[in-house]
Amino acid sequence: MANFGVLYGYELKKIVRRKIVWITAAFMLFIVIITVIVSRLAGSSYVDGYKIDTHYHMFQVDKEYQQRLSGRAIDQSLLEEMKDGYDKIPSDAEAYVLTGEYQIYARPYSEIFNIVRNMTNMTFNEMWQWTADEGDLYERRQRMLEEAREDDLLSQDEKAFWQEKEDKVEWPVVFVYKDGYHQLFDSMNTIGLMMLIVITICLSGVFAEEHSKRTDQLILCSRYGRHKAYWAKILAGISFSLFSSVMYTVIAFSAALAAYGADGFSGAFQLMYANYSYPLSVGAAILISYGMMIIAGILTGIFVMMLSELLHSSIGTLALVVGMIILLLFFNIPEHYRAASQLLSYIPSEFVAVWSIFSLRTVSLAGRIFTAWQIVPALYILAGGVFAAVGKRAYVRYQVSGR
Amino acid sequence: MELIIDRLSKQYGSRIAVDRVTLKLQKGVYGLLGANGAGKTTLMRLICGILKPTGGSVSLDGEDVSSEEYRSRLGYLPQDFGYYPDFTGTDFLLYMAALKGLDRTQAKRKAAELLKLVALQDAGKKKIKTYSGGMKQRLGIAQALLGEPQLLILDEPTAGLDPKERVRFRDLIAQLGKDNIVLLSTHIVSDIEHIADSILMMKNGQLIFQGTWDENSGDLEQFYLEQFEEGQDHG
Repeated sequence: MANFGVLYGYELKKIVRRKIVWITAAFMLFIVIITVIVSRLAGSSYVDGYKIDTHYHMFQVDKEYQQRLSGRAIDQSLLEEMKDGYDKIPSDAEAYVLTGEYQIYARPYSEIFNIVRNMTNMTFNEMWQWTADEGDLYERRQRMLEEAREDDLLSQDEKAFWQEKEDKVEWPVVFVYKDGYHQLFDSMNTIGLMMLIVITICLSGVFAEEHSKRTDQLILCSRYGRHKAYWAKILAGISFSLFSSVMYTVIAFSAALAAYGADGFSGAFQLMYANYSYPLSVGAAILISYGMMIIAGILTGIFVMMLSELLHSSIGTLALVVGMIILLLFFNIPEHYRAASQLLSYIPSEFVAVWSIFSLRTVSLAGRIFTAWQIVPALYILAGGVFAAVGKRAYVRYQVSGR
Repeated sequence: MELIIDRLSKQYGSRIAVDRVTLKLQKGVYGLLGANGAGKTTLMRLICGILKPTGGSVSLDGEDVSSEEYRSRLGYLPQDFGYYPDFTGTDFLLYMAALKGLDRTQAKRKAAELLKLVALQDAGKKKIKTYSGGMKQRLGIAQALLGEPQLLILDEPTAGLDPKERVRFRDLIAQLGKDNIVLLSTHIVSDIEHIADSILMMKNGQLIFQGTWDENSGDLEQFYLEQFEEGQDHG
């Protein structure tokens, strides 16, 4: 491995010395901060044109209410307290959140109200009519899960798999305040897409610029130019992708946990994502989500570098990859084409989304069932290897001509 | 030490850029003359292995042009020398040294020596984007000399150099030619007539002259122009 480390160092230097890297990283960082903090805490809330409160004050009040309930099981007693509070709201109120009864009696339980709705798919009207009943809540949840499994066209084996996981989730679920993690969960798609764009912008020139700057001929005729230099570039690109992804993760975590608090790590994931049956904690689910985001960033980096060598153009590479990301935001394969829509959801720009990571659709392999977040890392390693090999083939076959 | 070029050809569609060139080069300086488009640069790229021939072969002491061993003995200065604007001159040489297989200690020592040799020792810590055209060309020459190459291919090496630098460079080439194979292309006859041990002349992709040139052979420039004009007449 003589000189590989030195070559790697210089390839990394070539990437980070470009001004565009720092400009893009700073701009995207700004977007991440906006997404995590400003979008929720800045501004005010209005009902029918009437300002009811600032978002920041609402957050403080709700946080205090939720912290008071933290540690309590969502059982018959808590459900009755919640229902009693909501039953005090006058039935003829046009905007119930403006009523004093809501503010005094119901608002302390508003998060429980939301969780029950999410766990049962009940409408507002159904919730008003509902009689607090712990048994009924979990029966409704079971029905909702079964409907979701039907909607996702799951096989009998998959249904059995999820039911087995569901049986391992502890009920009644214990309520915890978890806003820091919830915000990270909700922001992940935006942060992930920003990260993929930063990686694309910064790595689109890794190979293309050697051709446009005409340094390719010096590299390719040198002793280590055809093999070690290629892998040093790939490793530098992977390191940059890893560093960018980890940096965005650390910044998002720091911002969210500083603004909303770090409570709730060990709470049940079902409090955040009601129709998922795997027995995960909030913290484990967040770490899985951002772990998936990091590997999506690495695969995107390798794909971008491969295109950079195939197209010999950083602008072309950038346009193609960003175009694909934007197109996929609007393009959707109907759910009933299960294999195609499942495969599409594994593409990095689609996979940096909690609904893809925690999809009910699984992959059966060698008699075992794997969830999306279990199988995708293996698929990405495979795809990364293929992209790197295709890029290598184009790189060693490149001929300097026509200048 | 022998560079063997055997019936080397390169064809782009119906255009033949290099047409069955056969050469055996041993230690010495070889001056490659030819008008623009004669095939000099294509021939040099083929010898450097960065362009795949349509036919024929290139080898140095039996090592094929595509091998790592061949490349480890090669130094190349392309006509359109590319660089990294944000690298310093020293960084650039250290990077090229790593590509050529020099270890860190050797690379640092050699980079400092070569910067001095091309009179860039005071500019080594400056970014290349601040260099003048002549300074960049000198840096290009320095990188070609890294690793003490036994086969040195220089495509228009004197372009951009001032008269004083040209003279210094000619002396350097003459010195290097004593122990190595140096092939340099130019269309400026005076650059090679005093230092080249052998003259190669190309026209339309073919080698039309190969041999030594001395004072008794007459005026090289006149001979070169005659060949060129002949081509024009026939064209």
